[in-house]
Amino acid sequence: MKDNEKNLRQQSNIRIYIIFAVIILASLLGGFFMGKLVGANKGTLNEIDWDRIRRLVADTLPIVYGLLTLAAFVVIFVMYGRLRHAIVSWDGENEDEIADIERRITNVSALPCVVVLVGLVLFPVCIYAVDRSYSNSKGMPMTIVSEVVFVVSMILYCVIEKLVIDEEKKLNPEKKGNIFDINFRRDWEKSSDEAELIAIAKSSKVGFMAGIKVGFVMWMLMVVSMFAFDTGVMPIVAVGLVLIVMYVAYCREFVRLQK
Amino acid sequence: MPLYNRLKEYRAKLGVNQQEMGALVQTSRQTISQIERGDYSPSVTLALKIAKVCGASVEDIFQYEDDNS
Repeated sequence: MKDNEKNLRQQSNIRIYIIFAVIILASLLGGFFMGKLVGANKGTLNEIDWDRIRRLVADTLPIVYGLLTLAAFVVIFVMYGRLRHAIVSWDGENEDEIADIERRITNVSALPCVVVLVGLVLFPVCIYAVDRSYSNSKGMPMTIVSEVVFVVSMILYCVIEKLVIDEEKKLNPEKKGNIFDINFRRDWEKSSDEAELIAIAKSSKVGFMAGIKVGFVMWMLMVVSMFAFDTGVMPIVAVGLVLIVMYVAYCREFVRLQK
Repeated sequence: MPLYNRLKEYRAKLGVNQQEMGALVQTSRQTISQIERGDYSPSVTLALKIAKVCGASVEDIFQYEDDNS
């Protein structure tokens, strides 16, 4: 019986090593061919009219960014209105209803974060494109549009988060923390019970793993883009720093918890 | 998860909703809901608190059933 288990384990290990070797080989070959492809098309890439693309981005993206943000916040406030209505109508007994309300609270709270995070990418792209496309005051209106959209989205984010947190606190009076306090996360977690803390920990782990995976993919893309589009080393340094900080923070906490 | 429980039944006997049950054992309504659905196994401390409030033993409320048995 034990021999059988040992054989099975050995076979499983061999399979793991083979898969690992195939992944490494595929990555090497992928990198090699990607480099070849970039090298072969270097002339074509240099012919791309970046000024024209930048001008197009400068003329359209601030408007698109503004419209998308506006549409997203309209949807979010409608969702919040419906959520509030559901909370007011809840009889305090129906458990399926409250479970649905709590799911909706999470959605209404998460969506503005997504909008702000997308804005953190779009806003600098907009002002960069405008700055590089217009050397005079012609670009000012689009810069102002981008800045106004960014600032307004931040304000709306704070407003909606405050409203949602207040509703959550009404449903769960034990919850503590003010959204405008820089220690909000700490206070909120302190007032969370064991099941909620486990949920936070599990979600954080999923987020961490996703961050690591995307970080490595971004690192590869940035290396290719450094040669293909002359983006320089800064993006690689930035991605590398984020990966290092994530790993070090994870390992430090893990070691501390193991004691 | 091979941990089964009769918390909902005991809570009904007490005549309290999940929110009130949570307050009695100093935990949230969500935790009570998750335990009842079998999505969460409570800590020993919480299981003992629940048993005390229900006036039963932990084994009366929570049963471990091995999947192989």
